[in-house]
Amino acid sequence: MSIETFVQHTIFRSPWIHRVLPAFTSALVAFAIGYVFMVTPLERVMGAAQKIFYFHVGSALSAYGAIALVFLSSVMYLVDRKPAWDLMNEAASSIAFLLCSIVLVSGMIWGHSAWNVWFRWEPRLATFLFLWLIVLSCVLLRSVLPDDSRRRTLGAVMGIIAAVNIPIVIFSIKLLARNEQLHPEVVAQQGLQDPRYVTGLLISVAAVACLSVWLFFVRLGNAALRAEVDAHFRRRG
Amino acid sequence: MESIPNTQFDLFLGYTAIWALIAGYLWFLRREQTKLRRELEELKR
Repeated sequence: MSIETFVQHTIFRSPWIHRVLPAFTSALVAFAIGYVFMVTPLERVMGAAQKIFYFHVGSALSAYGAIALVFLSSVMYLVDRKPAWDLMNEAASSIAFLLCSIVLVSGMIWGHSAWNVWFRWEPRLATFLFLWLIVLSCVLLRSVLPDDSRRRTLGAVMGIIAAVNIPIVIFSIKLLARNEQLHPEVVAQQGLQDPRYVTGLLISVAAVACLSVWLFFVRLGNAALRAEVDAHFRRRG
Repeated sequence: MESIPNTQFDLFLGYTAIWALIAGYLWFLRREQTKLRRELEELKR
């Protein structure tokens, strides 16, 4: 059974992926938004805009998860050259790009409210922007190059470069003293003293993770469909 | 003179941006899926 047929059978015909996951995700997202707006207390210094934090952090963690999947599929593709890994790489890169864009945009808006600047060239913000650009190039690369082994190999190499950036983004916050940069280290500095902040964060992280998994499967299904269409074209010559 | 940010408006802007990106992406995926399915059906005929 080819990967295209396998994906067609598992993704498009599985009620778990097609019905249960979207319904569960929608309910969880609605619950997370409700919890954030109705239960979590208003932060004293930043005010209402602090509520962006929950989905900003949730998206960042899911983006790291998607890039970890990009890394895994890139390495596996370079090892055994199976097209299935390339399809997974394509879908995961696309989701990683969406999540990184959400982190960047929501972070800028939150930053505008909290620091009165949209962006500043400090380690965490600059390294994340760099990561976003690399993930963008992973996505663009696939749309520009023809579907062949060169594109797949380049996609895998770019995926590994993106993944190498994750530890740099995470530890970039340690490069400067805390009073020299704006981006906070909330968890490491034992912020979130009120348990309702922690619960809100955990629910939001779970909601964005479920949403990412659902989008990943939809994107994987599309990648498999595209591969099948290309295979038909090749057979026809 | 620096202006004071409107946190309520930034909250609205932040959530609108997040869900607009997700909804837009989902719409794009559905449209792409419909197009590919149609293309595949035509090729199989």
